[in-house]
Amino acid sequence: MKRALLFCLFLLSNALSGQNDQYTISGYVREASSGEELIGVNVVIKELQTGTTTNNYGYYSISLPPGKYTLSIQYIGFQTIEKELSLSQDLKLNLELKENSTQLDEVVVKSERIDQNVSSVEMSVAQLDVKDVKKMPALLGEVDIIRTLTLLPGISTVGEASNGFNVRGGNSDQNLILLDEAPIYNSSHLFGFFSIFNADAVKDVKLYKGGIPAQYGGRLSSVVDVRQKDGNNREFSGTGGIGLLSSRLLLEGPIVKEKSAFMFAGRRSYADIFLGLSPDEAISQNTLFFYDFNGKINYILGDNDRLYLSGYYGRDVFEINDLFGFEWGNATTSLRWNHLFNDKLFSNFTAIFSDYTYQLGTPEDDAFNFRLESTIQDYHFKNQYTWYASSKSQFDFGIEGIYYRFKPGTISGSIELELQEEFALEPSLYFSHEYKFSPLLTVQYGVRYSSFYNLGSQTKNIYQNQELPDLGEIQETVNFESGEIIKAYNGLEGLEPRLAVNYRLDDEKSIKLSYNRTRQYIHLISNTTAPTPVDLYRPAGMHIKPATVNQIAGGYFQNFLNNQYELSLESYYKDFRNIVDYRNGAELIFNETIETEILAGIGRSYGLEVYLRKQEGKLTGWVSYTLSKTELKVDGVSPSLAINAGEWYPANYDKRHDISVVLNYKLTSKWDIGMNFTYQTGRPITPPEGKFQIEDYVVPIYRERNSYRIPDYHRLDLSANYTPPKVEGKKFYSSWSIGIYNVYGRRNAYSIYFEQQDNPEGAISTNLNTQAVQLSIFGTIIPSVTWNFNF
Amino acid sequence: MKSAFKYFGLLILGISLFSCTDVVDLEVEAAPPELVVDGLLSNDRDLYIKLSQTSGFFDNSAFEPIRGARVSIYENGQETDILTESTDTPGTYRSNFKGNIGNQYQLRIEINNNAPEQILGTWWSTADSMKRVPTIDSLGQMSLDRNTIPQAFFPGEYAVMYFGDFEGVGDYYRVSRMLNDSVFAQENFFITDENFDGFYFGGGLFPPIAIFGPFEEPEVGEEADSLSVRLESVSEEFFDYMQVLNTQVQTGSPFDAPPALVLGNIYRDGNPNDYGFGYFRVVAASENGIRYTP
Repeated sequence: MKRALLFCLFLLSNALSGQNDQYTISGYVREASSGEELIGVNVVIKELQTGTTTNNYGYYSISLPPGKYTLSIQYIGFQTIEKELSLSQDLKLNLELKENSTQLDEVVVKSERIDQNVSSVEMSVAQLDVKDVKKMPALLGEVDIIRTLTLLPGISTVGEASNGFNVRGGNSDQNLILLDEAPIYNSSHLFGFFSIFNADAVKDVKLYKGGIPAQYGGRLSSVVDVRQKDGNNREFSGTGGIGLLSSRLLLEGPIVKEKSAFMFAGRRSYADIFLGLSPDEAISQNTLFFYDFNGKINYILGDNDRLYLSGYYGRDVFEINDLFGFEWGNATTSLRWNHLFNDKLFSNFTAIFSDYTYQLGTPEDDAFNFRLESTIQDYHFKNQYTWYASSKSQFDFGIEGIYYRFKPGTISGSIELELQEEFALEPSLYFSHEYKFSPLLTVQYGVRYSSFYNLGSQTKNIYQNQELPDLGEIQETVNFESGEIIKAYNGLEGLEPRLAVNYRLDDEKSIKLSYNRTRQYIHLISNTTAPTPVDLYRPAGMHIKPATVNQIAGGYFQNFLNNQYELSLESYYKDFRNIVDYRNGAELIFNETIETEILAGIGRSYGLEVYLRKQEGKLTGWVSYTLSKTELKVDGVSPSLAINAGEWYPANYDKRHDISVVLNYKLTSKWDIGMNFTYQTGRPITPPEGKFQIEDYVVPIYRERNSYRIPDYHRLDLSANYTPPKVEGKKFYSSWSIGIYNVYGRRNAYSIYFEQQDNPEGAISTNLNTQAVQLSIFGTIIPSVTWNFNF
Repeated sequence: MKSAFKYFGLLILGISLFSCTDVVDLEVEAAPPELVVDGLLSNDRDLYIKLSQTSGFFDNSAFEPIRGARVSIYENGQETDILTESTDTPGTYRSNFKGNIGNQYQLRIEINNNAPEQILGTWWSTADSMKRVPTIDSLGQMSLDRNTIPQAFFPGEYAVMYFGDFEGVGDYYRVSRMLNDSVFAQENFFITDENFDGFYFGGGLFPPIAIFGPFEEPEVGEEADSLSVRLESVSEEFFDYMQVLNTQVQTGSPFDAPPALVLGNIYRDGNPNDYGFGYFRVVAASENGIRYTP
C-alpha cells in the first residue's frame, strides 16, 4: 500500500513539474452543419506523436512546450483537418469538422491514421456509430442500438427479443445503462422486442465491458454510456421516419443562434393495429403499444459555462379487453452544468432524477377494482473534474451521491395495501490518473470508493438465522426511524481499484492489460429466464449483501493496411461474489420479506473475444467471435435449498460460441446493401430426468440445472438502403430502407418447455402423457420497409 | 400475480404473428426409478395411498406401481392400522381408518421386494397433525358481473360460498369442486387467511367467495348442473408444496420460474436427506352442494 502511494506521488510530482514552461491548446470540436459537439475526436500533435481526445462534451485540452506544431483533427466519417500553429501562449481553438460527402468517399484515401484501437489505454470497449447502425438490417425496420450491441464480442442476450443483455457473463441487471448520465432501469420496450433508445436522438454510444474507468460504478459488468444529441444550434431541422412498427419525428433548432439549441424527439408504435387484424377476438380486443419522448435543451453561457437539461419519458401500454391494464416505463431528467475553471480544469455538476414505474390493474369504474403500482426512484448528484495536467498526464476525480427510494408495491382501489418503502444512500468518490510514461507505455490507475446505507423508516424482521432468513423463525421485529441507518456497508471492501496499461509494440500493435473491481448495491429481483417489466430492484441491506466482481483482462491490438482494419484479441476472467439467486417456488411480486426467498451465490466467467473491423471504404463492417463460459454456484443448507445440489452450473445466458458478421457495401452513390449473420451455441436449459404422478398432475423431475442445450441459433438478415442524392438548394431529402430479417426462415429455438399433453376437448380426466415443446419467437421470414426523411 | 403476468407475456409473444411451436424430442438419459407416494388421510373418507415409481419424461407408458409393500399409519406415534393393497389396481393401498382433528399422523412404508433396489427399504412421511376445518355454512347462487361484489369478469349466475375463517393466522384451505359428479382436473384452488384472519365470508362487509360460474343453461328437458364443494384444511407445508408444483408442471417459457425439484414429505428411515417424491397429506374436510336454479 505504502509503495503504491509513493508511486502515485511520484507520478503526481511528475505531472506537476514543468507546469510553467507549457502552454495549453483547448477548445470544443463541433460538427460544421449543426454545431453539435463531437465526442471522442482525436486531436493529434503530429510532431510529438501524442494527442488527446474530446470528452463527452466535445472539449479537449492539451498542454505543450512552446513551439511550432501541426494539429491533426481526425474523426471517423469526417474529413480530417490539419492546423499549423505556433504556440507561445495559451490558445483557445474551437474546431469544426465536415462530414465525408458521398462523392469524396470513393476517391479519398485516408492520409491520416486513426489508430485509437492501438493507441488508447482503453480496452474492452465497444463503440457504435449511430449512422452505421441505421444502415444495418433491423427487425421490422426498427433501428435498435441494444440489439446491435449484442453483435459485438462479449455481449449477448438470453434469446432474441428478451429483456436486457448480458456482458461477459454478467446478469442483465449488472449493466449500468446511462442516458445523458441518468440510469435507465429497463432498457426494453414490448418485453424486449425493441430498445428504448430512439436512434435519431442518440449522438454517441459507448459500452465498457472491462477496464471500467473509476468514474463509473454501481453495477458489476458493464457501463453503457448513451449521449443524446444536443440539438442543432445553427438552423432548424428535422428527421423522421415511417416504418411498419412505429413512426418517429425529431425536431431540433436554435433557440438563440450559436448559443442555445433544443432537440425534441418522439416515437410511437402501432402494434395494436396488427392486433385488431387478428380474427381471434381474444387478441383483437387488446391494446399494445409503446411511445417515448427524448428532449434536450442546452445553453452556452459563455466561454466557460454550459448548461444542459435533458429528459426521457417512455411508456409501454397493454390493455386486455378493457378488463385489465398494464403500463410501465422509465422517466429521467438530468441537469448538467459544465464549467471551465481554466483551460486545464474541466468540471461538470450533474443533478439527475430517474424513475421506473409499473402499474397494473382493473378499470376504476369496476365495482371491485384495484391498481398495483411499483416504483424505483433515484436522485443523483455528481461533481466531476478532469484536469489536463500536461500532454502526458490527465486526472479525473469527483464525488457522487445517489439517494434511492424503492416503493415495492402499493395496491389501491377496493382494497388498500402498501408494502414498506425502502430508502438508501450510495455515496462514492473516485480518483483516476492517466500517465504516458513514454510514447510506448501508458498507464491509467485509479480507485473508486463506494459505500451504501440502507435507511429507515422501516420495520425489519430479525430471524433466528440472519444469514438464511426463514419466515417461520422470526425472533423479533425492530422499528427504524426515518433516516436511521438499518445497515451500512462502508468498510474497506468498498474500495474498487481500477488499472489499465497499454504497451505499444510499434505503430500498429499494442498489448493492453486491465483490472477492475466493481460493486453493486441494488439487485433486480427476478427469477425468470428473461426479466419482465414487473421485476423490481431492491437494495442491499440487513439481509441482502452487495455483490462484487473482480475482472482481469488482457488483449492484443493491431491495425492493418494504414489503419483500415482493426483487430483486437481479448481474454478475460471474472469472479463474482454474492450474486442473488432464488429459493424454489420463490414468490417475488408484492412480497415484503423478500429476504426469505433469496439465496446468495458465486459465479465465474472467462472467455476469449476476437474482433476484426473495417470502418472506411466501400465495404465496412465487422466480424466478431466470442468463446466463453459462465458458471454459477449456490450452496444451500438442505437439498431443498441448494441449487443444482451446490455444484457449479452454467448460467442461463452461457453460450460457448458466438459469431457475428456485420457487413455494409456501398454499391453506388445511391444504393448500399447490408447483411448480418449470427451463429450462437444454444443456451442451456434444464431437462427433466424423469417425472412422477401426484393426483392428476405429472411433475417433471429437475436435478441438474442447465445441463442440456437448445439447438444452435443462426440467422441471416439483409438490408438495402436507397438514398437519392440531395437536390441542390432543397433541404428536404428522404431515403428508403428495405430489410429482411431471418432470410432463410429458420425456426430458431427460443426455449423448450415441458408439459402434459392436452386432452381432446370434452375429456374429463387429464392427459398423463408429457411432451417437450420448442418455442420459436421469430419462426419465419420478416420483411420490412421504412421511409426516412430529413429537412 | 406472476402467473397472470406470464399469461400476458406469452400472449404478446404469441401475437407477435411470427412465433411458432414444435413438439420436439430430446435425447435425455432417464434417471433410475424412484419412490412416489400419493396419499390422503382425512376425517371423513377412507385412507388411500398410491405407491408408484418415477419414469423417464419421454416414456409415456403408465407409471409402474409398487406392489406388495407394507403400508401402515401411525397416530400420535403409535402404529394404529395397516393398509391392504387393492387387487384391482396394484400399488394402491386402502383402509377405512379415519383421522381425528388434533392428532398427529405419520405414514410408514416398508418395501422389501417387487421394486428396484434404490426403492427398497423403509420410508416415512413427516409427522403432520390434522387441522380443524370450518363448515361450509351454505352455497348460494348469485348473479355476478364486473360491477358486483364479488366481482366476475364474465357475467352470469355463480355459486358462492359462505364460511368463516378461524381466529389465528396460518389457516390454509384447499377447495375442490365437483360438477355433476366429475372432479375438476388439476384443481389448485387454495384460500389462505394471510390477509383475512378470522373473517366471515358472506357476512357484514365481506362478500361470499365466488366458487364457480357462470353456470350453463340446461338444455331443454335436461337437469340443471349441480355443484358440490369440499373444503379441506391443509398444512402450510402442503400449501407451499402445491405452489411450487404449480410453477413446475410447465416450465421453460421465458417468463417461467427456474426449474426446481418438487419435494414433498417422504423420506427414508434414518436419513431425511434421502427423499422420495409425492406427498402424504392429512386433512379435515367439510362439504356442501348446490343445484343451479335457472
